[in-house]
Amino acid sequence: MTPARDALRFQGHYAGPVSRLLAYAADTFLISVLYTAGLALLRFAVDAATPWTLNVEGAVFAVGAVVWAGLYFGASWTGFARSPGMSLLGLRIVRADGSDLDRRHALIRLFAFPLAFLTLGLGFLGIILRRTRQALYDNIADTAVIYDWDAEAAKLRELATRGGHRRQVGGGAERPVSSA
Amino acid sequence: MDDASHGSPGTDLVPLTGARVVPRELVRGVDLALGVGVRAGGVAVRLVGAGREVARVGVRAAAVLPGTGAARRALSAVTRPLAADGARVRRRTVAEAQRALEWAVPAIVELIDVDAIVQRIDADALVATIDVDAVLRRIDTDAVMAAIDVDALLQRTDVNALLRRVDLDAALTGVDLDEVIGRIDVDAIAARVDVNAIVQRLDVDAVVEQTELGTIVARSTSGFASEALDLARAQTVGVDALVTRLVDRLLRRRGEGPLGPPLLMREEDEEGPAAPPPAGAPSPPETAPPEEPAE
Repeated sequence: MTPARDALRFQGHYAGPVSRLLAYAADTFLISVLYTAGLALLRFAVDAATPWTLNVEGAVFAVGAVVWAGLYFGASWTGFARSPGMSLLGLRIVRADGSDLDRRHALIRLFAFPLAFLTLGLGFLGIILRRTRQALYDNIADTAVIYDWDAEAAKLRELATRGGHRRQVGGGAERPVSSA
Repeated sequence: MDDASHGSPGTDLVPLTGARVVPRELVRGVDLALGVGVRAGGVAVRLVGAGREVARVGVRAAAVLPGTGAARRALSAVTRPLAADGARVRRRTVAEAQRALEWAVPAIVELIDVDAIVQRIDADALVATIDVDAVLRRIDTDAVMAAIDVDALLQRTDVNALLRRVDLDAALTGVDLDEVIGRIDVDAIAARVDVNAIVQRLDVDAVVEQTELGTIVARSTSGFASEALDLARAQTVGVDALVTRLVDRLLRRRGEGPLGPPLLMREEDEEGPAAPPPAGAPSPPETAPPEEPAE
């Protein structure tokens, strides 16, 4: 079975820890890049347009980063039920029963999310110990994370690409198509 | 009679051509003898008839007289030799008659023109008298058909030779195909076709992989980024499963928990079971690695 076909049968299942870690890493990278770039643009604009100089450092920088991260996650979760990093890895947030995430539970999840860090990472242990792979904030918001990417299209893409390569090697000869 | 056998050309049925000609004197003698014989025979027949009645009365009268038994025995003793002589004469006469017939019948057959007889038979009138319907009604068709061994008949039939003798071109030339096609209700035929069943039997994966349709799909949807992302996602799912197995082994966890949220699993069950995992394929991820931040 091809990787795409193998992954196809996991769609709708609880997302595993590696996928969620990579998604969080991608989000962190995006948050950092966008925050730094935005701050640089803002500083350049203030320097160019005003006699003052914008100097964001220390606690202000950190608070600004947290606020920006909150805006980033809040907007993406409430609007699309997934962050950009989760989109990259093909993950989606749903209610614990599998129904679509609504705005209210997205916001609850957003405000509960820092608790996982405030408990020194213990809030993430649910992803390991629980079969539903719900972290602390997932429990509070009654949400779960699942695999939800277009694996069917990925499978077709893989089959088409493989068939194209085979036709190129075989001189373009068509093979009969057998029925299932 | 006198002229019939002397110089006569004969009749249509019994021509005398080639037959023997009898002398006139012999014919007259035979006629005389026949005439005497016929008259004598007539008288004899009448006498015999009268004598039989008299004898019957006499026998009845004699039967009641005394001594009739002894007289019957005496009469029997007297008549037995006479009866034996009569039997010998009868046998000799029969033999002579047989020899005479053996000589006469071929001569008579030789004289008869069978063709003329056949020609005089009105076959149409003969057939007209036959009630063919009645004949057919009396035929038991079922019994006739039951008696026919169709298998043996077919085995003896050379179908190939039969087909070779059929002029298909000539047969098709006489067929108006446009009219035939015009009488076909295509909508009714199409309505009876279960297109969904046909589509379900179609191996879409094979179609995409082995035909130009796959190339179209690839050109319209794929790119390096898409393929790389597909591969990365698929590989990540595999690593998830691997990590889950390791954690389950460390925790000595047995059994299988829920694979996903109830509503989504119910939909999956209704759509049909997922494809069976290949040998050595990773099981669904159930747990996460320890101490890693996740969303």
